[in-house]
Amino acid sequence: MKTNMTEVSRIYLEHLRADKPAAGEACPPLERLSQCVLADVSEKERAEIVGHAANCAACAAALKDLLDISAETDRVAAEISRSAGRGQAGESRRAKPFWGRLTGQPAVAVIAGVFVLAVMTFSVWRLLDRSGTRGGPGARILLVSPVAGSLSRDGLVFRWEGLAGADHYTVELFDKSFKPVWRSGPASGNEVRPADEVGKGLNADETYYWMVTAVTVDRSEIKSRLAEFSVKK
Amino acid sequence: MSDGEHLKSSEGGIEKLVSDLSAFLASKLNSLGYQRHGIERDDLLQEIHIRIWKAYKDDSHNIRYFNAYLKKIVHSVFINEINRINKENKALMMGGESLNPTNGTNGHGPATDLSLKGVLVDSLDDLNEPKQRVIKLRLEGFSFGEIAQLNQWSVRKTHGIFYSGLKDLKHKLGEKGIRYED
Repeated sequence: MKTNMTEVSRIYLEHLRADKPAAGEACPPLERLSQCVLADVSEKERAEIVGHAANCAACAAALKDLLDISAETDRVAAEISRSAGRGQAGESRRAKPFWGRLTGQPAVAVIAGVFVLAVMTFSVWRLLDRSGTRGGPGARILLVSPVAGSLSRDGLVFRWEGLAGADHYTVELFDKSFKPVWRSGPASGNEVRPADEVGKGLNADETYYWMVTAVTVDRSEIKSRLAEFSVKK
Repeated sequence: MSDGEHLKSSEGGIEKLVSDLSAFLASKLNSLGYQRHGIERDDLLQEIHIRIWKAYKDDSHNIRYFNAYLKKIVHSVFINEINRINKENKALMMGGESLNPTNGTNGHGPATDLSLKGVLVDSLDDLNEPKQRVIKLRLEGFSFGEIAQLNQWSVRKTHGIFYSGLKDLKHKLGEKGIRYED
């Protein structure tokens, strides 16, 4: 005897229709079938419901209808989201960060780009960190305080180690985005105490950067590295 | 285009989409044989319109969840209709008339080869549960995508289970003297 898929399918459907009630007592309610389609049931319940539908023509038909309706609703919902206006469209785009939408080749390209940028940044940073690039061979201004940590607004004093051959120094203060906040006048010593207003104008717990520029007797400038600090509330 | 014009045109577009969806749902119910029970198509359309618009207005700030919300609404309207009709059928059946729409086709087609049917059903029931589930659903007309969605599996996994199950089924049928041809 021979058979094939079409015949097997026909015979199986006839078996289901003939030997099973169309919607027997054991059938799950339509609400459960709907929850199964909407992925709103546990794995165990899912296995029971789908297993039942595999042996019940009526529940299989209902599941199929619910799947059809879901597919159509998906399509309509996507269309509605598209036509819902700029505001909602923007909302939808904001729903997922751009890196969350990257897959495949674009994702690899972005990762590679970030890696290259990181290597370049590191290389530039290494170059800048060499004392020879700032102030010439051997010339270096060492910042003493504040360097890291937080300090009181009242006790804001910038200190550094003096440099041989310096005529005077200038201190510059920057905010976290490197926007200049304050600049001292020429100072001959190794410290500058800014006016109280400067300390009071700083935001608590925000990072600030400062640096010193030494002007030598031959009018050349030697700059220190940046140091950071924050002020207490 | 101004915001007002944009909103107006997008609302017009949504109105059409909601109408299309309502019409699809109504035709789905009609294809199941429910039309003879006097579904008021306009009532159904109105019900869906009202609920979708309400969902849209309430949920428009959170469009991410709109799709899931919309599906729940549509399923719920569909199920309410079927339950209502089934209730009416039950009442009619008590009066001696069977009008169960799911029995629109009684399923008793041409005479089936009883021995083949027996062997086939036994062989299917012998398969392990996942293989049995996938093959039976496939025989009932579900696509691989639908089976995957119902089981929360990937389509690839569903394919794998199906073909492995089919191989087992062929073997079992072969042992009972039935040759399965692809």
